[in-house]
Amino acid sequence: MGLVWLCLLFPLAGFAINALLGRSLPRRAHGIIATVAMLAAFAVAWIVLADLLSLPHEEQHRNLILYNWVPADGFNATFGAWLDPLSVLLLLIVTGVGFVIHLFAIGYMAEEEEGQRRFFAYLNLFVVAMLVLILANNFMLLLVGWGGVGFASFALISHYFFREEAADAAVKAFVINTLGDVGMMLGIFLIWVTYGAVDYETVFRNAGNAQTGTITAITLLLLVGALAKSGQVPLHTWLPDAMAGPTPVSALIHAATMVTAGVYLLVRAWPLYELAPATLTTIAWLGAFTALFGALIGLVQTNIKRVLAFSTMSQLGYMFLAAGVGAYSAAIFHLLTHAFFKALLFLAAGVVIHAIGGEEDLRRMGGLRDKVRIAWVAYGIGGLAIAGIPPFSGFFSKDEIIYSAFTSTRGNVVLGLIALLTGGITAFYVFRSFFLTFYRTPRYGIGHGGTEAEHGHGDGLHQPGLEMRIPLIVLSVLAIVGGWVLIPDAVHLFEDYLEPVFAYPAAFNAPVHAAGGATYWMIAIGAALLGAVGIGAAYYLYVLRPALAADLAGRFAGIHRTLFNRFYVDQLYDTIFVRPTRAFGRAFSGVFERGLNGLVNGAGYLVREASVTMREVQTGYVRNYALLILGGTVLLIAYVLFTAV
Amino acid sequence: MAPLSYYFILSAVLFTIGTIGVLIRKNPLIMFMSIELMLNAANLSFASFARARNLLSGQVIAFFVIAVAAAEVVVGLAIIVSIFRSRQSVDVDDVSMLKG
Repeated sequence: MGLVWLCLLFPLAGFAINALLGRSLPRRAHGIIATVAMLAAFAVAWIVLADLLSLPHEEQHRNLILYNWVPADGFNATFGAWLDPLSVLLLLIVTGVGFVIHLFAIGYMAEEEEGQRRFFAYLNLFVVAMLVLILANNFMLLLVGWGGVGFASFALISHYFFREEAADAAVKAFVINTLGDVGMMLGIFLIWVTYGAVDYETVFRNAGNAQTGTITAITLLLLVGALAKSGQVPLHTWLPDAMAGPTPVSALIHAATMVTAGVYLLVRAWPLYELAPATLTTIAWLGAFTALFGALIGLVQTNIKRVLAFSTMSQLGYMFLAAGVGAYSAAIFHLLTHAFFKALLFLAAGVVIHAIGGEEDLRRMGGLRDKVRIAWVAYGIGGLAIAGIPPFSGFFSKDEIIYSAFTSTRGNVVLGLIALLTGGITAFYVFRSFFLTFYRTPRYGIGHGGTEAEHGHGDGLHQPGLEMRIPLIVLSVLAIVGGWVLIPDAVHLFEDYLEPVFAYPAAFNAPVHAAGGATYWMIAIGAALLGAVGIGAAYYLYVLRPALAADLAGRFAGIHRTLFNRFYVDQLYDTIFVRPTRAFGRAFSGVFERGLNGLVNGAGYLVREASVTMREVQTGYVRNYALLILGGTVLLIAYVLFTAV
Repeated sequence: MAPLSYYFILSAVLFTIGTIGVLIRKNPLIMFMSIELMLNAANLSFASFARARNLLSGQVIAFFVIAVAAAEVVVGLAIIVSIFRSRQSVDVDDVSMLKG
């Protein structure tokens, strides 16, 4: 169990080596160091899992304390790991998916002259922060990881900091996430005030000892943090912009791991949320709304990574919906499968972008099916998984959520229908991007002259190397089989595995939704059919009749424009928050500029003027000094004489 | 013995002569002599008071002043000599490099 600290230590060492000693290492070494560190952490994670599973079911929650972190009067926080099936599962996902994406990044970033060291150092640092977030045994340590991943995300979005768009996106992500952090901090303060502790064990065990109103406030404040981190409406605007970072970053941070931290928090703090039904209802509706909202915007986006970003937002909406209706294990199940298929989609998109020299616009792709066959296969598998086509992983996890939305005591028909409908839209827009990328005639131009000789291909495309192919293959397999750990009425591996998480504290248990029966299969088949219809519609519109798609866009120009501009939310925020803040700042900077500068400059001016006047006294003639001394003495004596009486 | 006021009048006259000498003469040696005059005017006052009040301390202070004056002359003459060596002149108005 104690080995879990090695999981933290390996990426930390990778970061330290690259950051401190990296300058003297060759360019290729940075990626290899970072990747090996991840592999080591991944291996250790399996040992931790084996250790955990060797314990009896009811004891599978361990509070490993490394040292007393903040010992203060009346307040105590330890630096420790909370190991239970949930945190260990996340540990495996982060180190495992992290490892393959690191491997992919070696190939993806290979041509970069500068910045590889920085890139891999930050990537490792991100993993460290993410693991702190996951493993934390108290809310305060969780916040450390929470802020850490925010910083790593900022640093990696702005990897190409010389591009204004990337720098702006990084600032935007950081500001919005900080907003969430503030909400979370207030939540943690309230937890401390209410329960007198911040560690999970005490808080969860005493969860019921507080007023419902207080718990609702706590959960809502924590939710603000979760919304910001997971890109949920209304704090979602940073996520699409974050795609300005390199593609492996989008895959790892803005799809597979960091953005799921919000879901993790909700599930981690389930004893609190269980006691705050109002918050759960809010989460369910926000999640359902975000799922639909993201999917609708994804319909018309022209940048392949943005399509995937909106789909991430939408899929995270599903997870929030699941948590909101109390189906915590379904949320985590979807988190797991989503990590596989969304990382796969991003990496496949990365291969395409890499192949055609950095182009991300769907309108300038096309016809790449036979050119980069592995990307075609991988993107197809990822697409089928996200569309919920059996037997791909997304089918099982998404239907679990849709089923819960319909049948849970907290769910209702409207939530279920939104989830169902969104599934169809998801299939449509993902396959729209698939067909636009890989089918019909090529619309790209290759700008790289030297690549032909380099790679030995006549078409001038960058072909992915082995280090990029292996991750695609691994993730493809996982995107297919990843869902087979939970097949209603047949396999209950996943539910059984997570069960200890929801059995502790024993005072009350989370409602367990054993999906299955005729209702489940009806919904599942309906969802799969809807997905198939979505794919078929995309095929019809973007392969068979591309003119019709343009025609439709023209006929519904108003709707198209609204969707394309993402419902003008960015513009709205810009008008309400950004511009007034900037104007306020400018006004104040004027005041301070004049006021403070005036004060400082005035002091300097006064001294200078005074000395210019006073220096006249210094004539350099001895007799003048003597005269002054005499005058001074006379005055002094006069003073003494006239006051002494 | 003459009245005490006579001594003070003499002392004041001597002091004034010395002061004027320092202020208006340009020759440093004359200025030195004027300073000595001022010091001795002060010595005269000390001695007169000591005598009139029958106290020893005033006389002792006069001796101190004489000792300090001797030391001052040594330093002052050394400065004058070195000024003369560097600029072949001892006119105090030529030495005004400290002008601000």
